Amino acid sequence: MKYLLALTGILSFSFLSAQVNFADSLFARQEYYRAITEYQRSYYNDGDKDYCHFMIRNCYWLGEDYTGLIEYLKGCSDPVDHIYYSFAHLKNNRPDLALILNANLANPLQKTLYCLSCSYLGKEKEVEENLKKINEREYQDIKAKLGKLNQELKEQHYKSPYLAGGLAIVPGLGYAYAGALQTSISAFITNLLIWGSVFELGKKELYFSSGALAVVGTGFYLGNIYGSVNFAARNNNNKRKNIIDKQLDVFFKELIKVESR
Amino acid sequence: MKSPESKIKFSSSSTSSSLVIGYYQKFISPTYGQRCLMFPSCSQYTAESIKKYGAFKGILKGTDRIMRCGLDLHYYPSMYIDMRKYYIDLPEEGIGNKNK
Repeated sequence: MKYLLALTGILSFSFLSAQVNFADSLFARQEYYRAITEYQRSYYNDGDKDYCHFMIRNCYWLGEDYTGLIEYLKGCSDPVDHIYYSFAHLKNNRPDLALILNANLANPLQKTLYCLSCSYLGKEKEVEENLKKINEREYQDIKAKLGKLNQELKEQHYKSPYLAGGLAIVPGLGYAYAGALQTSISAFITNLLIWGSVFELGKKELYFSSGALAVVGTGFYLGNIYGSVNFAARNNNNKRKNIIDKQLDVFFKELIKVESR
Repeated sequence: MKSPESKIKFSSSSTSSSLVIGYYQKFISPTYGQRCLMFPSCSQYTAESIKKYGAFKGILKGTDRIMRCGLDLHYYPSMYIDMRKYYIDLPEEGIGNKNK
């Protein structure tokens, strides 16, 4: 009986290690989705849970499946998991959610992630205020880098969405200000043609057709104002995002290093 | 809080706009085929915007898109769908293209 039990133990151990080895080979071949399935199997078959969790997290991250990673790490409590979880939101274009996740400003890690999320959202003043509150020694390097990034973001020339909207009173001018020259010509010609036709039809006493076309023209005119505001705001956000994205991996690695100590 | 009447009005205007777009997509658009350089097409973009944001904002977004269609393409990310290059411009106001 004793031998039978020992044999079962050895067999199950070798089965589990074979499963993990297979998953590792898939990981090495960058077949992340298949590797996740194998690691999950091993996890539920009582393999090395910490290792499997570590590898599943890596598979999602390296496979750039941020939605999957968010789903996987939902409700995590480990600080490194929290870093992955927050960065997945940032990479997924949802800094607003990362901001909410890191609202506990008593924790230095959350304070740092909060500042990073604020940078994405264009809240430079809030970043400045919160950076002053980071006093922990191990976070000083990251603090300095965040300060530098914030300064760089502040120095950028952004287009005012309000000014774009104001200029759009003249169709196309708002788009031109926002940087979309071709669109500005298109908006100008579209509005000119529609409103020109409205007045011509009115002159010929075709009031119904004139009125119907005026409704369409109003849609295009208001669309031109709305679009100009949106275009300026979108470009500002993209400009900001491009600058931060270039440095995001540096922050990620540094935070992991600090929290793994 | 919105009254039930306002909800009915809102949904009926959305439905009628969607019907017009549906008619265009079924009977008019197929006569000249898939031409829009952007993904989703302008009519699909408008239909999705109306569904998501209601008739008023949806139509504004749609008219804005029609004026932008095929122009200033360097502002949009591109990808190949069925061996054809499309410029991606989604109606969602994610942070990447969120209006403040």
